[in-house]
Amino acid sequence: MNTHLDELPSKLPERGSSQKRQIVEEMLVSFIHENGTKILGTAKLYVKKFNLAKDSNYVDTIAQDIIQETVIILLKKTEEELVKLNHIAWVNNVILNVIRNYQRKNKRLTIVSNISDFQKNIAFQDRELSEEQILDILIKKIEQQPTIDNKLFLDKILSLVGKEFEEIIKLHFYEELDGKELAAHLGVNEGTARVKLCRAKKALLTVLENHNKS
Amino acid sequence: MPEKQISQENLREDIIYLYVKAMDEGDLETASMVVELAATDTELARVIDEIDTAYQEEEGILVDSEEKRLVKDILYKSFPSAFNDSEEPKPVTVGDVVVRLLSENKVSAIDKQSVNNLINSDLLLPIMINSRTLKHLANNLGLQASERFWNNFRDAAIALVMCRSNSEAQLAARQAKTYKKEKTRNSNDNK
Repeated sequence: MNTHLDELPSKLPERGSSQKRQIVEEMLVSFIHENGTKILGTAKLYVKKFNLAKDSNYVDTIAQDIIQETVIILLKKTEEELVKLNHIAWVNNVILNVIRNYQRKNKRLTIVSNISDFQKNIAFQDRELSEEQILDILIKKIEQQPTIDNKLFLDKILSLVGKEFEEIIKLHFYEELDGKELAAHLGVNEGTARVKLCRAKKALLTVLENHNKS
Repeated sequence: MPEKQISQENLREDIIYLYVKAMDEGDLETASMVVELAATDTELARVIDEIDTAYQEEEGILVDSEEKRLVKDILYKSFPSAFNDSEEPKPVTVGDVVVRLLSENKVSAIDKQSVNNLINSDLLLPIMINSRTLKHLANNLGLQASERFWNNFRDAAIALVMCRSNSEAQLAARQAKTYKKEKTRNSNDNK
């Protein structure tokens, strides 16, 4: 008997929809057992940071609702899609989409066109924020003002940035420390070091911009 | 380091910067875009995860026993089957009652020796628990124990049976609810 090749897949035994649903449920139950507290913590963080709760007493309730909604969305995914549960960022992305929908109900948002445009334009959107640019400004300033002691100029800039960021700026721009090395030097975890570094860069940029204007 | 790798790392650093800036400024759209990128970039995802942990510490978001209970609530609401609901409560045995009496120190020293042999007994309790049926049970077991022991045995047996019946009632209610849900879903699918 001749069997056409195209017919082969349909002849393979297929799982019933209830069986597929059961597998999806099992995957989700296991994921929530392992990562439930983590994703609830993330949801709470997003609720706080993106001002979803007008009253801080409602943060927990809203975060729970967000996770509940996220689980409902994940339940609609297929077994193959849920392999991505291994990547917590994928789950966080679903949570953020739920939050965006939640926020849209309250106010109209300006939506960034799409991810590829965003990716392409990162450098242009925040061009002034690149480290090279910051260093360029510093060097040019020093070159433009040969009469002024370079060290004095740098000290002045750092003093304007504030003590809070002075050490981290020195470690990053002078010692070229980043990520884990920077964290080890500061005696904090990597996340905290990165948050501090980003805030320090922002402060430095503001100081340089103000200095340029004056 | 190859030039391509350097530019990729620089781009990643810029993205991380944007994420922190977005989180500090409450810019949901930018943060969402960064997290979407992180879903396809393991290293970026790792750093974002570290940053989120740092923010949670900064915001005083702690995971305590209350949080764990909330997660359990979410699980229960979404997946009642995750709580072994299909497993029906087992009928109460002589061994169950003896274990309960021993754990509550309700067996006197005189009765203890003969009663200890019944810890693993799988013999089911009589349907009606009264002095007549318990006497019959004692004969079947060949157990010589004080009247006080049998009074305590009767009370503990009734309490255990009531407890199991309550669990069965809850299970039946949950099963009915799941059945109704399933039926509604099927009828919606058919439409």
